[in-house]
Amino acid sequence: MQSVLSVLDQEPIRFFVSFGVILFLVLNLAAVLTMAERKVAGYIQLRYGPNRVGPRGLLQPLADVFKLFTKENVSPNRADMWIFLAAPIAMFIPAALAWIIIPFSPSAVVADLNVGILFFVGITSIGALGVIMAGYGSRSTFSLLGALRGAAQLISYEVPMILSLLGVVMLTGSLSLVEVVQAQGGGFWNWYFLPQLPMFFVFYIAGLAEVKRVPFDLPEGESEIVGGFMVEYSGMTWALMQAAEFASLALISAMSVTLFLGGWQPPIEALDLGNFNWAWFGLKTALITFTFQWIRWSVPRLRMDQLMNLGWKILVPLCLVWLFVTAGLMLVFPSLGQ
Amino acid sequence: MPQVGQGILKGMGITLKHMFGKKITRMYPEYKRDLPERSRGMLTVDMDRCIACLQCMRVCPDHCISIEQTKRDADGSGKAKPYAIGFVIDDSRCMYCSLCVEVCPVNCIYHTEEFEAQAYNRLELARQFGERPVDPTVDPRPTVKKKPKSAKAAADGDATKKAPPKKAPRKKEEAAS
Repeated sequence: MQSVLSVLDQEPIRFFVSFGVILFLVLNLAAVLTMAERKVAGYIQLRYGPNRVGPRGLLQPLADVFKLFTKENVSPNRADMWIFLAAPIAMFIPAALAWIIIPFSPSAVVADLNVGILFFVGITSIGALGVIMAGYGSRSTFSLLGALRGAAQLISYEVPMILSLLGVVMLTGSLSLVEVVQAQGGGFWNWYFLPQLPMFFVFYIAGLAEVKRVPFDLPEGESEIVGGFMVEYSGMTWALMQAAEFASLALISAMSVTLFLGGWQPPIEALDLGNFNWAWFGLKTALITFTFQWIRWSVPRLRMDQLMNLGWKILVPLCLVWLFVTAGLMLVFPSLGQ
Repeated sequence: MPQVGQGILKGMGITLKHMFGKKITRMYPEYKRDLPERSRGMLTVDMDRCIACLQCMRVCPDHCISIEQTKRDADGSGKAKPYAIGFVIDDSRCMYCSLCVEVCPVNCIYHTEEFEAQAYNRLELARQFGERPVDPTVDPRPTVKKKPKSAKAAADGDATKKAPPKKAPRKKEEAAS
């Protein structure tokens, strides 16, 4: 047993095994989050949500997956089939791939890249390409409208998102996410959301926009352009898009936990669980994911110009100002940066 | 400026409160609420009271009622009266307009509180009430009065001459109904 484990711990094998685990986790996360979404929606609207399949409806994701697997994949007659079929993949792969830099606990990270944050920023921006491909390949007016909106939104919100990460990078002096979390040890008052509160706020809002959720769901626009870029998709291609969306939702939650809420660090040191500290990470991520869902069912959608105004006129200046404040504070109090 | 975001926070407070509030869902198959007093459920017929007057069959706009009529001395009065030997209500056609209930002179056809009319086959929705099953797929346009006439016409042999008078009463009958 010990020898098997040590073989699995060798570098190339370890990477493949852990990447397989991450892929498994992300796909299941997407399935479970669809049900969580419906349950939260139900409870907020004074309903019960799905509660027929299994005990309290807990087997609903299984039923959904079976239904989606057996569904026919319909495509428009004049669709650009290569782009049409590649779009869900182009959306899902980045969302799943970015998970490899998330540190679940000090040793449980697939690849502790020393440019982790850069990797995250680069990989997640590929998702915009998937949206454009989906809208363009469908050759449908609503799809194209959704894709154009998506392109505008995703590219503009990339800017405040990257800027909001810089404060953390400055304080830590590293782009590695493991080091970012390690720098936040020793109680919740050391977590970065306190000194970087405006940055956390900006990252949260930009993250909402990046995963295209209400109130920034203009690319989908359920009620006006009936699903936007994904209007022509059905069956497993649609499921893959949904999976990508929920995977990136969880990814943004995990990233905000890692960067601002101390990752696997317990809130006070007395609650340190040793090797089981990933439970803290999971708990915090679940909480942030819940707030995303809570916002989704409470807040109405923004208009396109309001969206752009919020991004460029409020979030970006706020980030820049707080970057200067952080830099100034680090200059005055050299003990802030490591 | 201090008012920015207040509406959002207020709304989110309400939704959070609802999250733990009492749910208004009624679990339907387990819990059935009482129907309103005059609700129209599936039709049923009291065959003991039916006098086979065929009025419900005539008035039905969807032709969902079919009756097969015979003469029989059902009440022991020694006189043969019209008797509905077959009576079918096709719920796949019924639109619950309640016209048959209004028109019935002996109040033998009425709505029940049953409203779950579902089946795997449309023919399963046709409910038979009489002794003899009636084919619900045949359009039940009342042709009872014409039958002896057309039989007589056929017996006379000269169908071409008798055709115009055969059509006339039918038109009249349709106008009357």
